[in-house]
Amino acid sequence: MAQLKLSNLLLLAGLILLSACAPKTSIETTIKTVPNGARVFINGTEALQPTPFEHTFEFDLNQEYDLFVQKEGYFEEELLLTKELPSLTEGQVSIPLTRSPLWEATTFSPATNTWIQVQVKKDLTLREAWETLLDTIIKRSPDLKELNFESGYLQTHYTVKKFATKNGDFLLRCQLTAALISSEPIIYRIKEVAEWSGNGVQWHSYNRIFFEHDDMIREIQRRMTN
Amino acid sequence: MRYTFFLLTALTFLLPSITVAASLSNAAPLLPESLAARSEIAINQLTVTVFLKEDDPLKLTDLLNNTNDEYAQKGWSIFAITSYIHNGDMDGMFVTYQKGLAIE
Repeated sequence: MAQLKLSNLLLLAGLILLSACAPKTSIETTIKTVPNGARVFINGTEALQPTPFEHTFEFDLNQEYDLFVQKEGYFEEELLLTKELPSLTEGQVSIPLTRSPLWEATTFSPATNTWIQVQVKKDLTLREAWETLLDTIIKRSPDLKELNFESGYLQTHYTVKKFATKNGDFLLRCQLTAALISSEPIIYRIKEVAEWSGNGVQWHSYNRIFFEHDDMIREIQRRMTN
Repeated sequence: MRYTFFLLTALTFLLPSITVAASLSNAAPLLPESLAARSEIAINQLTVTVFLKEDDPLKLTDLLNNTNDEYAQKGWSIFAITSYIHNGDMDGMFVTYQKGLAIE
């Protein structure tokens, strides 16, 4: 009886030792990004808070985890996480993010791909308003595509810039259009079309405009409105 | 009664398409910073492949250099080079060029 108990004890001790030697299936980590403040999606589910945050990976449930990282102004990143990842044993996952040069060269504007209304101040005549508009635009974009005082329509050529990025080369272009929609009171509608392309053929909308185009819109608003 | 029936039938068929249309119109634009953009660019990259036929390695090297210069002048850069081996001998190369982006 005593021998049986001893063998049971030895078996138990052996099991404990074995379980201690077995690789950990549950790993507690700190997920960081450089810089922090990024949204992280783990296997498609968004983490409750931006980086840095603590997360426990259960490798008995999943062999690998897909981490998708997103931060405004930075290129998105994707990382496939397995328990063999060296930094995971140290309890941390650090993902460096790369700044987008397109983002850095541009700024937010309410006129991006949307018409904004400019109601001209009362002391400006129709001609004076047109001249002010033209003067403001031509300083930054001397080569106009269309210009018609009678209809009050004006369009600049595209300002195109090329950016070399970690994901390849991109073109970004912005074009200003102004149209007179009312002569009494004088109201112009202004829009900045912002588009990007990775092959020079297909163009997609971009949500920001070049700083100089934003300056142009601000100056139009300053000089033409009260 | 008949009017209610028609209205309900119309809604049953129309509602899913209205919902899809609304979700499409609210879809976020494809931004260059996204992973989706990266794969789209790779798919739509303008490329051309040429075959350089030459079994003499020295002449093939010269031919490759000259072809590269020729394409580079037109704004193309090398994307991939694959050697063509026939009956154990190199008979030439397949060279793929990609069109660089240019501001027109």
